Amino acid sequence: MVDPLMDLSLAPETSTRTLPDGDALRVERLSISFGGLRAVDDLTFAVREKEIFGLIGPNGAGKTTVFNCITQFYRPDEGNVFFRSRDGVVNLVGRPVHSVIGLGLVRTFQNVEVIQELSLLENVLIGAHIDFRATIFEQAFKLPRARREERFFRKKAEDVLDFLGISNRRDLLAGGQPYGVLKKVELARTLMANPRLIILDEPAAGLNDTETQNLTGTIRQIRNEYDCTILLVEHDMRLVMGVCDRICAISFGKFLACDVPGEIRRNRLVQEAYLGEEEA
Amino acid sequence: MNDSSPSSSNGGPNLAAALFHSAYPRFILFGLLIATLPLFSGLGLMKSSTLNYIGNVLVYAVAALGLNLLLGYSGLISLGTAGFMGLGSYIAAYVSKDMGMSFWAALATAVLIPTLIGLLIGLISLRIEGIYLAIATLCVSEILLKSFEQADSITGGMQGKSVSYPVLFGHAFNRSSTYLMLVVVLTLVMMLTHSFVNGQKGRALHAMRGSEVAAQAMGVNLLQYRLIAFSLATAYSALSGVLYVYFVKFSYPSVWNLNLSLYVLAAVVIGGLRSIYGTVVGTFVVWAVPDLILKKLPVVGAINGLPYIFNGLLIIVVIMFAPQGISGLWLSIPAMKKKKLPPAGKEAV
Repeated sequence: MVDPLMDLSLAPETSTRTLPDGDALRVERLSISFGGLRAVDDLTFAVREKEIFGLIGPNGAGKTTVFNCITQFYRPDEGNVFFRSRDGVVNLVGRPVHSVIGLGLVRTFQNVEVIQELSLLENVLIGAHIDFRATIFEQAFKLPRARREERFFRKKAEDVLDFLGISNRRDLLAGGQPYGVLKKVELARTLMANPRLIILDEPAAGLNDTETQNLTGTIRQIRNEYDCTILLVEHDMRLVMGVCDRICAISFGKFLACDVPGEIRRNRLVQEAYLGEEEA
Repeated sequence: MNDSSPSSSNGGPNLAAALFHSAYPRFILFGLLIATLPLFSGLGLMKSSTLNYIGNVLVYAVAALGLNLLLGYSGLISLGTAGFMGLGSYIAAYVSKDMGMSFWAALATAVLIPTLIGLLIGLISLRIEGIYLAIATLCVSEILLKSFEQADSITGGMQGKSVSYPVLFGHAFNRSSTYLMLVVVLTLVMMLTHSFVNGQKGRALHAMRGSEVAAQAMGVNLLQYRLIAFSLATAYSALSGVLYVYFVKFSYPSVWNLNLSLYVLAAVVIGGLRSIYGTVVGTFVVWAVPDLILKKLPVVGAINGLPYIFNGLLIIVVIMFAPQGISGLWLSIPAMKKKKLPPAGKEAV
């Protein structure tokens, strides 16, 4: 439990057998209950590498809970989450939350989680937290290595902000910035970590129509330029259908279907989940 | 309040920033300014006792900066400041007087031992948060205070413990040179704190306070960073205690009570969370203003317990009307000036 030296100790359970080639992430028979409520119920799905994968479902379907189980904010009651990290396949279940990013898995949050009192650039720099090597003394005394690192990652953060088109605001405090900008800051923060898989929790929530349209392009661009896999939860169906390669639909924590957008749209179970069952 | 700060950091040419590219020269200038104060007292422009008050402010400012790291940057609260200050002062006195070791040895042990104890206490208590952490640290402080009273052979018990001014670089210091030492130490502490909070570890503390979930998702080990913040605050307190005992030349148990911890807390809140200069100014307001200014006023000056009333009222006023403290008011001055001008393309993206 006590882990003051923050080693990202990779458990020796590393193997490749549990995840077929070409899969980036596999959620296997995942279940979690809160009191009497079974929020996620025996859910299985797999995300392929370099895919933009959507997780959809009506309100309260358990989408964010699934994300929290993957990123270890919640400990699932049952099931496994296999992830292809830089060092082979690992089971994420049971790992400390803060160690997940070191494996190449980063997430954003439904309600933007940025630090109001820091500038946009400093917020983005937090994304590079685990890549700093200088000790606390080197940083306090501004020794060469600390300066070099700081300069390097500042440049990197500026480039990322540039990529997302908000570099002109980089020195402004996050507090008081429009929601759309803060969403981009969160996105920029994930990109600082050289992720293999980015999990986006409702990236379009709170955005206006134009911003949502642009987001489709941005998500694709991130996948292509940063060469990573993207898993997203989203309510905006136009965005989901437009950007995702494949979609998994769930309802009340249970698997409904997993297919390309067109098929999901036609799927009777999915339609029923969203619109209610038809009287027979 | 939040609206104003970005415009001040981004907007019009900040004269100070234009003059000095880095923050360091400003800290040094600040240090030089307070270093000149003994000259005034030498010229008879300032009472000699005033220098004692200012010196005490410099001492307490170090502890307040430590508490600001904890409360302001990391969002953790501690009421144990006084206990660790006392511990630092007694260890320094014991090592230099009873063991006859050098100032440096006394300084090192008197900072290291409390820091290690703080680390240990942190390991146990940092799993709890908010008011419970405050209670736990208060308990630790009270236990330390009782130990100071009881451990006669080391602390001198209720009689207290005396030391002489430090002997440094082969010179026996007097009051003025010890004062200068305080200035140098405080300036260094301000500079180091500045670099620390603006670096990666400092940002991690910010992240921890601003959003625990985001911090964790970005790889910040919460327990580890709480420990870092807590032991740093302890180290600052201990250092402050060491400076105290060398400047005041005495350490009594009654100094290291809850009252002192609350005063340090008041200094941080009144000066402004997350502001280095603000903390020093806040310390001055809390400790020096009642004694140096208010007590000389007619009628008001005669009131019993004036410092308590003043600081209590000030805290209420600050929390209600200026939650960012004095530094927040200072930062909002450029914004207030700007508001009088027509808003020129604020949303230009």
